[in-house]
Amino acid sequence: MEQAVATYREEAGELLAELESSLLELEETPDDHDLISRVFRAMHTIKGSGAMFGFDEIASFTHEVETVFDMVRNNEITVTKQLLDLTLKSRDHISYLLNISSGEGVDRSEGDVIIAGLRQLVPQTEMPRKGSDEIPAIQLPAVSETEPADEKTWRIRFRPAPNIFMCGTNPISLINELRGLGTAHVVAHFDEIPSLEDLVGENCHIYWDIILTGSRGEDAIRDVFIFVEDDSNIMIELIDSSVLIDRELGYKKLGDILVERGDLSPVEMRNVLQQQKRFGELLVEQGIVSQEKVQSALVEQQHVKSVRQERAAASPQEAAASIRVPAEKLDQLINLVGEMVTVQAHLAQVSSARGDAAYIAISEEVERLTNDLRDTALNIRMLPIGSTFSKFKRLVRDLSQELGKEIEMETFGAETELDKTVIEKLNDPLIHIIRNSIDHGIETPEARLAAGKSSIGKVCLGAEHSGDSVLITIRDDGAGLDIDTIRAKAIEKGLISAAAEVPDKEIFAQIFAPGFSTAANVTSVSGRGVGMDVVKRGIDSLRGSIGVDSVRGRGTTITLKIPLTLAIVASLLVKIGKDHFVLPLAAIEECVELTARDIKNSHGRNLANVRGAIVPYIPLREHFRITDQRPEIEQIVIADIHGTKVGFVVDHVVGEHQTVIKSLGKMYRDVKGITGATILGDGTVALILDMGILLQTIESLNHAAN
Amino acid sequence: MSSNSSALESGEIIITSGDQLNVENAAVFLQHVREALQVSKSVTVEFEPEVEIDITGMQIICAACKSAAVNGKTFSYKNLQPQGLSDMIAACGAEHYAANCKQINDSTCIWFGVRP
Repeated sequence: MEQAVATYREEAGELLAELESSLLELEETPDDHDLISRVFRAMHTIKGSGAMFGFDEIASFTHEVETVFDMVRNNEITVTKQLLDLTLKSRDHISYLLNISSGEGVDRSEGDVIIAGLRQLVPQTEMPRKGSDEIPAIQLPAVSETEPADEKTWRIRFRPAPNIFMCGTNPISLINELRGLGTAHVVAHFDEIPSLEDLVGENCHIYWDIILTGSRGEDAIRDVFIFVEDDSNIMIELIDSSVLIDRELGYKKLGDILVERGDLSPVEMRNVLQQQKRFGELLVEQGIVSQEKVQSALVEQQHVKSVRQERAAASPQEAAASIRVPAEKLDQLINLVGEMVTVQAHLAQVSSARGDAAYIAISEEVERLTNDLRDTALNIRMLPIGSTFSKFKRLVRDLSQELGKEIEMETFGAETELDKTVIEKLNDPLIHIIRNSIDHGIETPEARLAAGKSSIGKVCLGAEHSGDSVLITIRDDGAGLDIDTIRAKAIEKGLISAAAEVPDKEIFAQIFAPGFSTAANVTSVSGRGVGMDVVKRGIDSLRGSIGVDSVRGRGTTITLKIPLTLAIVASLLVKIGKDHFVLPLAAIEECVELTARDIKNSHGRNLANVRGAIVPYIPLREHFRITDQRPEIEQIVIADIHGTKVGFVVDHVVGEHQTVIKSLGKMYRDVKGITGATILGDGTVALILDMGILLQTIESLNHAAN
Repeated sequence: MSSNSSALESGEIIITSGDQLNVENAAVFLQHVREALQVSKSVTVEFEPEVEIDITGMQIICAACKSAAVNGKTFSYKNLQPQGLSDMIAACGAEHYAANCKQINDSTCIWFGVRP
């Protein structure tokens, strides 16, 4: 049950995300009936499954909202901004109810306010009040047969009151109503019919077991018995569903069904099982359970088996297409694959050293399989970034309302896939950038009109692949960055020299410095100079880079370049002295030789002439203070860092390497220019260099020295 | 037309179903069956072809069949199973019960089971 509840929480979370994005889309196209149905279905599923797993607060609250959306679905009320506001708040409230633990007290105040608001939107005749404080409950309309819904199977035992006929009710009519709710198997029990002498002809002595499969919930079943429930004995149990519990094609054993029904005790079951006969026969032979009850349980068994088999046959692809796996299991898989890659590298090294053709062949086969395994494992963790986009749509909507601005949000590339960890870590930086765009970028409607722009501002969030990275673009058509103010502030803070000629991009990059803000006023949204620093640190931690481009009066574009995955990266393995280093391959353009004569010719300025172009280089040997013998010919690894070509001088280029990233210990957290380490095939450790940070660090050191 | 009963020379008693075997006239039919099984070793019901039967009618038949079996008597019906009884068996979900009736040595119930 705990696992089923956890699954419900997980699935409800997904449904809430879908609900939010549907509501935001609905705001743009309020007449879209598909969207309205999608909202209704999400609510319906959250409610139905919530009731099933004991989330009664969620079920009752969602029922109210769902009811209103059913009216929208039936064109009884229209989609208005007020309705969407309340429904979005409802979504947040459901999320709150979902996240509080069962032991905590529930704060219903927000929910009551929302329901009161929804009540005002509904024509009074639609919501009859039961009492002054009572929240009206509305009968759910019939779910149309075409509406896809989760099929559930219910076990119903119906023991009518003996005088049911005298009350004018025919039990067969009720059973026929149940048949109308789905596929039903009805088993009548005659075993309680008394002897002819004791029989009261007008009384009902028969009772029924009904196994019903349908998309309607328990409420619909209870509605059938609404006029007889007080006097009759009605037991309704969920025994199967397409969304929960048991995904096997088979079903419970006969004994389990009878024990569940209370027709057999566990002890009796064990005793009978010790004999080697068919279980049902034994039960009847020994007079433990009547033939009728065994027959009824067999009917249930057959019914559920058939339902499950039909379900599997109807959606074989769906059944096989996806399974839910806890994220930590995927992390564990990636860690194991990482270890495998390391061991494979060791195997390759050993087999190569032995020179045995058979070993080498096996090693190559292992390498091929390991590469496939690595790619597959990394792909499993890839998620479309669009799942986070809807959150930002909500952010833009709420913030623009708060700030009295009119802003539309556009997105593209929602299907672009990124490692799940990367997506999670992108959340905070994106929030800060978008908040900044809304607060400082987009002007008020009046200012925009005065500037000859549309009163409605635009924020565009998109993603696209670029090699082994993803480019995430946040573009607004607001006022743009004031380069003069930023330069002045940067000079004031000592970030750049007043005399230096600094390219625009570098000036814009100053907005990411800690505590840097040009905002005259601090608002609740931004202006403290904290957010963009968070962005910088967040993107650095992802081994990504940030580019800023802005035109005054036209808007700003911030581009984040993020590696696809954080676990294993393609790299260039290099050697300086006895030490190995790893450089991420994505930014590397080429390797050229650096001779002693080249060094002499550069007169200590660390510049290389690469086919006529002057490329500055950083001698890593000096930077890391490695004192071994320098080789006659060194290698310059030339990389493109934020559009600038920079060389890194090493002794030898060993070759391409699949680097399994291991984080450094706490003691090394503040070492700049090194993002982690990796274990090589022979067990030695190689440091992974962050070329961008390395360049910045050396520039700062030179700047300070000069 | 209501239920009635008559005795044959052989001692067998024939009970006619009448047009309706339902809650309204269950008492009359029950009375006929009780009396017949008290005095005769063989009681046969003769259904009207268009007879309407409800649960009360079925209950009387079942109770009578059980009592007859207990007392070593015969309680059966003549001719084909009427459509009204077939319909009620299906509506009621009695066919599962009819497969192995305890009262008649786990055989198919002659009343609610499918007749050859």
